[in-house]
Amino acid sequence: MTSLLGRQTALFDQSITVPAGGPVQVIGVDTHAAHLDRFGPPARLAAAELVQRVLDSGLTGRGGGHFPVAAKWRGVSSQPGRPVLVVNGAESEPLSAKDAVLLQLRPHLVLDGIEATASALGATEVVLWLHSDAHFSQHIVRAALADRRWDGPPVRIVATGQGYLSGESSAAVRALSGGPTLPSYRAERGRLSLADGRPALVHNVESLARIGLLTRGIDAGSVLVSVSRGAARVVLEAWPDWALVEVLRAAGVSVPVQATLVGGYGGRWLAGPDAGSSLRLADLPSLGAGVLLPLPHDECGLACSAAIVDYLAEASARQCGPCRLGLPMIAEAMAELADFRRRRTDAGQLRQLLQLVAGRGACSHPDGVAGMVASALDVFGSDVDSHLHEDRCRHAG
Amino acid sequence: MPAESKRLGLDPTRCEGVGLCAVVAPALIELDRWGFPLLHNEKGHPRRAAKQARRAIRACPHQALHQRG
Repeated sequence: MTSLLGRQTALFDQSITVPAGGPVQVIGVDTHAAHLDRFGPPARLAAAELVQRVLDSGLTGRGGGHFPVAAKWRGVSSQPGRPVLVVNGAESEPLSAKDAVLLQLRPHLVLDGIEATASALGATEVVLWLHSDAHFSQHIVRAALADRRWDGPPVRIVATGQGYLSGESSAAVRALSGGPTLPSYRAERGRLSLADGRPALVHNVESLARIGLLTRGIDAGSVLVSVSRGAARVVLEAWPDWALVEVLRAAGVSVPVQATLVGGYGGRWLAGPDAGSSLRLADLPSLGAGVLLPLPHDECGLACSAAIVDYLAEASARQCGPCRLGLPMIAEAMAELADFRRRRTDAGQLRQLLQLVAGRGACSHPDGVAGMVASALDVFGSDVDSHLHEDRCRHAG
Repeated sequence: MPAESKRLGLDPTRCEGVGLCAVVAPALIELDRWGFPLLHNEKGHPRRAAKQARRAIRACPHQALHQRG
């Protein structure tokens, strides 16, 4: 398989376009036979061998945190009890579609990764954590399991609500332990357990697909990204050494763009000239789960950011005071800035507010908001001035 | 990341902004505009700091503070 730019792809030979909102439904024919034709059979590896391959590849998690998989496995192995493998398919970034597309077009590759991981770590159970409205994904996984011999532990599909935080690892584990689907505070990061004390190993769908590739000795080194383009999301396989502008162009976005929001709603804005020139994916500080939102020149970055912060404030778990109280204040300040309602230079006060919420929640939700808004104030600084001192926006007219 | 200092860690999901911690540990804890604690590392007087840290942990009605280090 070769990509548009002539690179040997591992997962998809072309980009996949899905609508901007709603559950993803892509039709593919990934029978087990077709899967084995495409990728060959997986090797049956001893645990130590698979661990070595994961270590050698430097594989990092694809759920946004980029935590090294080998280190995560080491942590789980050091916890007493046999783990539960939680397959995190609750893709909750509204602009992300890569996990749904992967699960629907390459279910057997994901299942290979699940089987290999469960075996290597002695998992006694697999839980597939999906949104309740992801009916097609659920159907595809059930069909794929029925279409193959399954040597792994029993797989059960657990459906969750569509909230933004429902895909947060500790929220999933807490829900599976009979609690609410909200992040938990962990004095020791990275250690998750169920109510009965069993360790929980949470892996993103794409991470497991890549483990499935590793069982075949394929170390792809690629990343899946979701690029927003108009009323669509374009999922494509890209490489860390690609310039951001190449990725946007491959997704059919007309470049140069005004700016790009990298890493989802809680990511960082990058100004147009950087996004348009040589900055590579590997250089981006906040690629996260590969969500890219390019901003055309005729849209206002402050208005876009204000709408996002509004959504994120509403999505707060409301468990922690600074987040519960601070995010709505930030959203209000941004809305006023976007709507020309601010008459004094309050950007300084807004920045202080950002510092007051960052790092003070049980999860990284407020950190994402603070970082995204700070980057918006930087990148759209001249718009901040024109919004404060004039009654018009240079972009949206 | 939950707020923490060298001596104290805070579970922000338990904290209700009661503020007793800041009363008994003024060298270590300051309240923000919403009444929620900001944890600082003490400057000098490690014995006083240790004593205040213990008091703060005991004072919290929601057991939101714990010892670190």
